[in-house]
Formats: sequence, structure tokens, C-alpha cells
Amino acid sequence: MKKVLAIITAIGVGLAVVIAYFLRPLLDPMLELLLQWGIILGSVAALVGIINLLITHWHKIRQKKEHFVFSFVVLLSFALSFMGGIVLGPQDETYIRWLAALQVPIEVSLMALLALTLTYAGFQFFRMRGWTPLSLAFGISALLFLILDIGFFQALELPFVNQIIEFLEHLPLAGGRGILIGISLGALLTGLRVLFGVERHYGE
Amino acid sequence: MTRLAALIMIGAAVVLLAFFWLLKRKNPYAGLRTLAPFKPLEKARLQAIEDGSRMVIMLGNSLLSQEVSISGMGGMPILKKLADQAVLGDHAPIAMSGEGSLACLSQMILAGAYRDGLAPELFSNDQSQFAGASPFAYLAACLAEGFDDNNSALVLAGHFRPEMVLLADLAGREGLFCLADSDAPGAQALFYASTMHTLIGEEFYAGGANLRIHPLQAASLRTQDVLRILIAVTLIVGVALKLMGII
Amino acid sequence: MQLGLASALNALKAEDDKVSGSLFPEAEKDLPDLLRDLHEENSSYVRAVESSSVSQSSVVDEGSGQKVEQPAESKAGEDIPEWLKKVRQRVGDEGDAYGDLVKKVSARDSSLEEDVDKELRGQFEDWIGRLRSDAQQEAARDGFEPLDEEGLQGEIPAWLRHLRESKGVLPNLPEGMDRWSTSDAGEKLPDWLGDTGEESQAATGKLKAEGMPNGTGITQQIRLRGSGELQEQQPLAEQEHKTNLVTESEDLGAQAADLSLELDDITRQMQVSHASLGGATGGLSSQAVEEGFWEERTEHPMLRVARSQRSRAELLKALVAAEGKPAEKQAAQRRRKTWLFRLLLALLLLTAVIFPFLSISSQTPQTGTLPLEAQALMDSINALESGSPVLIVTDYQAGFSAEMEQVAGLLIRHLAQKQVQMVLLSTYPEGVWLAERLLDVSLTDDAFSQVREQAVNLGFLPGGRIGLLSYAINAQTSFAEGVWESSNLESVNHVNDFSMVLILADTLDSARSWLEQTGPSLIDTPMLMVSSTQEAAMMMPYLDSGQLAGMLSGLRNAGLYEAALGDTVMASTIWSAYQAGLLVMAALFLVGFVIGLETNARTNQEEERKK
Repeated sequence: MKKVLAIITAIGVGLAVVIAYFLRPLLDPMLELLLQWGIILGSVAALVGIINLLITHWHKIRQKKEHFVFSFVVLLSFALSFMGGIVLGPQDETYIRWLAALQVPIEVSLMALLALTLTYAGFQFFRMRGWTPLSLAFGISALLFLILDIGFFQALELPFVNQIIEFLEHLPLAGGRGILIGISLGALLTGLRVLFGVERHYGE
Repeated sequence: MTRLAALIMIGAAVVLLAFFWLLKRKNPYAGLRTLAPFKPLEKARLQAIEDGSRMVIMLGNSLLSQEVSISGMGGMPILKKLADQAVLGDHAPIAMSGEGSLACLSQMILAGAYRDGLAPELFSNDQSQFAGASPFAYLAACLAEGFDDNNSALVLAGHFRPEMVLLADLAGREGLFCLADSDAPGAQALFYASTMHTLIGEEFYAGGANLRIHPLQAASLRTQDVLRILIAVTLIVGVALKLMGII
Repeated sequence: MQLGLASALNALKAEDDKVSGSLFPEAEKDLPDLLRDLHEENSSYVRAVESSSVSQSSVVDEGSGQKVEQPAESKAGEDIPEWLKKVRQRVGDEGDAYGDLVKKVSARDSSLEEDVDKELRGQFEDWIGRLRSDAQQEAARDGFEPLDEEGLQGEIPAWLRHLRESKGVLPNLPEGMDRWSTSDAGEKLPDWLGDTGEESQAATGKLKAEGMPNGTGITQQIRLRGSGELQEQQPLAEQEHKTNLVTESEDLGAQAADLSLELDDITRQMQVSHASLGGATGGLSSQAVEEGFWEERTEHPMLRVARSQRSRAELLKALVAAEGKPAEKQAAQRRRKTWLFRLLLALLLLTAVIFPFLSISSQTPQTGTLPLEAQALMDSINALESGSPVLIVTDYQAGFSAEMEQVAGLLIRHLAQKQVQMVLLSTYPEGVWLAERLLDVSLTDDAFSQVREQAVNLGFLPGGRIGLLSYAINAQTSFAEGVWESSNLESVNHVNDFSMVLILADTLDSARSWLEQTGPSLIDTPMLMVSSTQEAAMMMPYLDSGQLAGMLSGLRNAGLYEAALGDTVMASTIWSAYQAGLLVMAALFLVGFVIGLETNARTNQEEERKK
């Protein structure tokens, strides 16, 4: 009975949001209330996730699993950031400077690694993928846009060349639209399945 | 106008979904296109069971927070299928989520798989991990988990940012099987360049039907295909009418 | 699954005992922990049932009217796991409960095969049918004429012939050996499988006498049978028995398939077995036997297998072959190799990127035409009046801050020149401090100090897309109490009350969320975008449809924008470094392309040569 009630609630809320969206601004108060509930639930889920993160790392330390030292670093960093935010406030200048000094270099380094990884992937691309029409199209377009991005041809300021470049730069637009339409349709159907109570992989 | 168009789309989707579901009720998966990357996934799954290694399933980092996307649910059928079949493996599969609600859902799915496998006592909460609250934190945690010696496969199924390609690269370096399945076009392009088993475009939404999780997913895939064809025809007709100066 | 596996284990144990005495207990020690637990659990269940049968209660089966025995709860039963107790309780409570359970367990057991099960069964029946009909036709054609030794050699699998030749085990054929094909099912099976139980026992006894360990499993039984035949050829009279054994072997095979989880163990046993065979058969090396074993499976002309079956066989073969090999060492070697190559790539890239900083001393403005979308953005900012509120959304990660601050910094300065009131918010938690940082790095000039002081940071907008929709409905209630009141934004009650909405987004999804949820609420307020280079192409459709009023993306366009403003804050060296990096990447891509061509040509040549 509990499960049936949960399903009915889920379907009911989903339908209510969809209907309210189409009957805006008439049903705005109801929509706003439901959305606020959604935000609160999402935040609670985030809190649950953070607790899960802490427990998982605590278990790793307690069981002395491989590389448990990193778990210790995670917990220590979490405690320091959390206490800093509580004591100094999230908009405190010192706190922000400390966060930026840690987070920005780490993330930028990962981005640098990404550049390296993509260079390596580009180098290995044809050896890995072989010579298929798709891989060839992908490879040629990747190379083309890499060269166009350098800006050498644009700097020439030749009208004819600029027209060709403009045409080439519009090509991804068509592909992008196609992909976006496909993704949106997929999202729509997934949403409908959720509404119908089918997308419940967590079992009975 | 926009709302009317949206309403028509939703209505058409519901009608087609019901139609295909009823039409193919006896054999819902007959004639569905099969996705090539799922065959190697099956092989990797069997291999993981046979050699007692571990599969790591990464579910992405969006469902309800930040980059909210229903696509975050895209990895759930794969997690469900893999968890169901790996219950008695030597190393339990691990689900890594980058978002609270995904972590909760994945934990429920894994626990359910063990319950259905009559082995609920084998489930540990550590199998479903919340890896990080921000995309980069999630990436860093997944990279750390990916280096585990017990791993044999990384399955990336969900909504991913392009920088997650570092995980696919890690899999390549460690000799792990990697299936990359994301709805984000940017991520798809980078995955295509760096790993062999990638799903492209709307194939992301065909996973559930290919894994035969629920008949409605097969109907959903058919609906998707029909709607896409309809939209393509509408666009072509629109272009033709525009060229002829009618509209 | 537990029950299924455990019962299969028991059946195997019984089978093993029947053939070669008490061989299994040792094998059990080698079982993975989980399987051993399962087996022990099942044994305890069997013990419990046995002990309970002493004090059993009799109930009358409604269907038959006969008394059926039902195990009563006993002390032994208290040791069994909780789930088993529940199951047994249900069996007691509900007549059909056991059926459900069995169904569930069967479903679990067959889950590994569920997708291909029907197909495989059909293929197997087809295959076996063809084998039988071929054999019958052959037998009819030959008219049961005895084969000479040469003819028999033709029938002997290549691997066995090779083994016999290499190891000096001559095919000393007994009389009537030509009729090894009289049995329909067994005739085409390899000889090691068509052996007799007596032979196995004899062989086992012999091996035991020679000090073979007791721990053997299915594979070893098969090996033992093979070894028996290799040493002693069998008379025709035993063919019927052989057929029975073939069936028995098939049963064993089926059970072995159920126990795929036991593969590691089986493989280990195979190795033990091979080693023992090497000693027992007078020089048969385990490697030779294994080579022959697999050779038979892949090359026998009569073997017809489906692609999926072949793929699974290959997987099994690969697993057995990899057993005991130093896989980690190989992986480490490969890793070292790529590590060095990656290091070289990194050095090359770094050199290319650093070089412009060392070589260029003068800063030259970017040349070229400003793209239309960037021009539209510039026009929108130019049209703003002094003091008008502008919403700036900092939805990007810290990792993108280097690029975003370069591009967005220009716009912030442009907005500051127009003396607008900046209102910042983010749907990313780190966006809160990234917004502050953006203002700090962009508005360093004293002339902008007043604008900097008036700027309002609303902070984090929770809830992602849901939060955005809520914000579009009512901007004020989306924030914590007091935030809006203290922000000095009396004129703004709705998102449409801003003069401009500027989104700084590093991903398409973040941009889409704003466009789809907040966009429809903006009636006369333009929405503009600053995006990272990697996502710019995907934003173009929104520009085309008019949902976005303007966009600035990438360092090149930022340089052009800067030049159009007459500003030269952004060093041209950054742009040069970016160009140099791209050039190296493109060059490497081309080199990879050429190497790929060469590799492809070489592979094709090798394939042709093989053909």
C-alpha cells in the first residue's frame, strides 16, 4: 500500500507540474509551491549524498583500504572548508582567496591534462578507430576546425575565404540541431516513463 | 505558441507510446535496432564475473542539482542490469554518483538487485558512492576509484561533461573495458575520439530497450524514432515551402 | 541463485565421488569463498532437512491424498540464514510458495543466458541434428566397413594425432576401433570425451598411486578420462557404455556451465591435472594437452558453432590462457611505454604554449571582423542606460575560470563603463566565490570602484533547473530571507525587470537551463551569453532562433571585441600561445593520420599474405 501511495504521489505531482506549466500564470502559486518542495527535496538528497561520501571515506580509513590516506585528505579538506564557511561565511574575502588558491589550480591542471589527453587521442585516433566513413568524417572535421580556430585564414581578410569559412562554421549548427532534437525527444520520453511510473529500476 | 507546440509534442508522444506498446505487447523487442557497444559490454560483464574483477559504473553528476537533466536517469537501466547479474561476483560492482539524488537512487537499485538475488546480506552501502558535489570533484574521485587494481571495466552512463573524457583515457591506459554513454554532445564527441565503445546522439536513450529492462522502453524507442522522422519530414517540407515562397 | 549453485555443487560432488572416489573435498578448499559459503550453507540445509526428517510431521497432500513429508523446524534449522528460514516458512505457509521461489531461482540461474538462450538452444539442436544425420549418412555409405589405420588417422583430431606423434604415444589400435563411430551422439565427439568410467577410475587410481592430489573437479575428470584413453585403447564392446558416459559428460558440462563462477578454481585444477598428466602418461606435457584441447575446439571441421558461442569460447580460452600469466607486468610495461610518449607530447605542447610568452614583447591588437553575434552583444551593452540593473549569472567551474575570466572580464569592464548596477548569482555553489573573483580581477581600475561597491552578489540559487523555473516565476522568493531586501533592488520584482541577463556558462546544459526555464519569462529583456569555446557551436541554434540576443565565445572573438573597444588589457601573447597550442595539436593529428594510413596498409598486406 505504501508503495502504491508513493507511486500515485509521484505521478500526481509530475502531472500537476506539467499542467501548471501549461496553465501559467493561472496556476503559478501551486507551481511555485511544488517547485519549492522539489528544491528542498533535492537539497536533502544532496545532504544525504554528502553524508554517504563521508561515511564511505571513513570506512576506507577504518578498514585501511588501499590508498586510504587519500580518504583522510578528503575528510580533512572537507572539515576545513566546512568550518571555514561556517566561521568566516561563504563570501568572506579570505575564505574565497583560500578556496580559489586550492580549487582553481587543481581544476585548471585537470583541464591541462584534458588538452594533453585530447592531443594523444587525436594522434591515436585512426589507429584506434580504423578507416570507417564515420571515423574519417570525424577526423577530417576535427582537423578542419582545429585549423580554422587558429585564425590564420580569417586574418587574411579575403572575402571569398571568409564566405567559405562562414559556410563551414555553420555546418556544425545543422548537426547540433539534429542532436539536440534527438536528445530532447529522448528526454521527453524518459520523462513520460517516469510519469507513468515505469522508470523505477530500484525494484518493488 | 511555444506551449501549444510542446503540448502537441507531448500528446503525440503519449499516443505513439501507447500505440507501440499495445502493438508489440507479445514481442516488444522484435525488430529493434541493436547497439553495437552493448555486445562488448556483455562480454566485459561475463569476463568480470569469470575473472573475479570489478565493474565501476559512473552515473554522472546531474539529476536534480546544477545541470539538471532527466538524462541523469539514462544510466539507471544499465546499472540495474549489471547489478542484477553481478550479484554473486567476487567483487561487487560499484556505482559512483556525482549528485545526491542519483546516489540515493543507485543505492536503492543496488540494494534491490541483492534483495532480488536472495543475497541482501552481501550488499554494502559503500557500493553506492557519492563521489563529489561538483563536476570536477566527481571527476577526481572517479579517477581515483578507476585506478583500483581490481577493476576490469568502467561504464560511464549518464550525463557527463566533456572533461570526463579523462576517465575514458584512464580506462585505455589501464587496459580496462570502457563504455561511454552520455547525452551531452560535447562529451560524446570527445568520448568518440578516445574510446572504442561509445553511444552517439540519441542512442543514449536506447540503452534500456537494448538491455530489455521494460517493454515500455522498447515502445519508447520506437516512438522516439517515429517522432524524429516526423520532425525531419516537417523540416524538409518547411524548407521546400520556404524555397517556393509559400511561407 | 544460491540454491541453484549449491545444488549444482552437490550434484557435481556426487558425480565426482561416483567416478573417482572422494575427489571433491579437496576441490572445495579451492572454491572461492562465496561458493564455499554457498555450498556449506546448502549442506547445512541438507543436514537440517535430514535431521528434521527424524521428527517430521506428516501432512496429507490434498491433491493425491497421500502423506507427504514436511520438514519440521528443528535445532539444526536455527543455524541456517535468516532468508532461508523465511523461505522455508513460506513453503510451510503457502502451498505454491516453493514454486515461486524455484521460479525466481531458475530465473536467476538463467539470467546469464536469458537473451540468447532460445537462440542457442535452437542452434544446438540444429547442430546436433546435423551431426547425427551426417554420421548416419556416412555410416550407411561406408556400410560398416572396418577402417584401416590410415582412415582412422583421418578421423583422429589433429591435436591428438600431433600429440601422439610428438610424444611417441602410437595409435596402437585395438580390434574394432574402427567402430568408434557406432554411437550417434558420441561418434563425432573427441576421443577424450568418449571414454568409459572404468577407464577413468583406472586412470584415476593410477594417478593417485603416482601421488596425484585428490582435489579435482569437472575439468580434471575430463582430463583423467582423456588420459585413460591415451594410454589404453578400448574394445568395441564398450561403445554402449561410452555413449552413456558421453551423456553423463554432457550433464557434467551443463553443470559446469551453471558453475561459470567457479572458473578460476577449475582452471587451477586443470593446471594441477595437466601437471599430473605430464607425470602419469609418460611425458605428456600440460602445455601440449592444452594446445591440443583448444586446437580441437577451434579447428575441427565438424564443429559448427554460432558466433555468440564462438565468442564465449574465445573468452573462456583467453581467460584460461591468461591464467597465471603476469598480466600486471604486461600492463605496467604498456603503461610505461605510453607514459613516456605522453611525457614527450606534454613537453612539446608546453614548449609551444610557453614560447610566445618568451618571444613576443609587444602587444598587438587582434585583427579581423567581429562576428555578428558578438557585435549584437556589444550593441546591447551600448544601449544600456546608467544605473540599469543587469543580471550576471556565473555558471562555470573553477577549471574554466582562466578562459571565462579573460572573455567575461571584457564585458564586465564594458558594463562598468556604462555605470550599470551589476547583480550576480549562480546555480553552482562555487559560482558564489567565482563571481566575487571575476569582479576583483576585472575591475582593478580605480575608475570602477563605485560600480564594484554597488554590485550585488545574490549568491547561490539552489535547485538547478527547478530553481530557475521558480526564479522565473518569482525572483524574490527563490533566495533566503533578507537577501533580496538587503540587495537594494527595489525596482526588480521579476526577472523581466532586469535590463539585461548575461549568462556566463561553460556548458551547453547550463545555458539550456536558463534558455528553457527563464527565457520564456523574458519579454523585453535580452538574454546574452558568454560561452567556452568547446560549447559555442552548440549554442548557435539558439542564436539563430532568436532566443539568444548575442554571444561572445573564445579567445579569438574576445580579442576582436577588445580591439573594437580600443582596449588592450588582454595580452596578445595569450592568443599567440593558444594558436601555437592548436597548431601543435593539428600537426600531431596529421602525423597520427599518416601513421594510421601506414599501419592500415601494413595490416592489409599482412592479411593478404595470410590469405
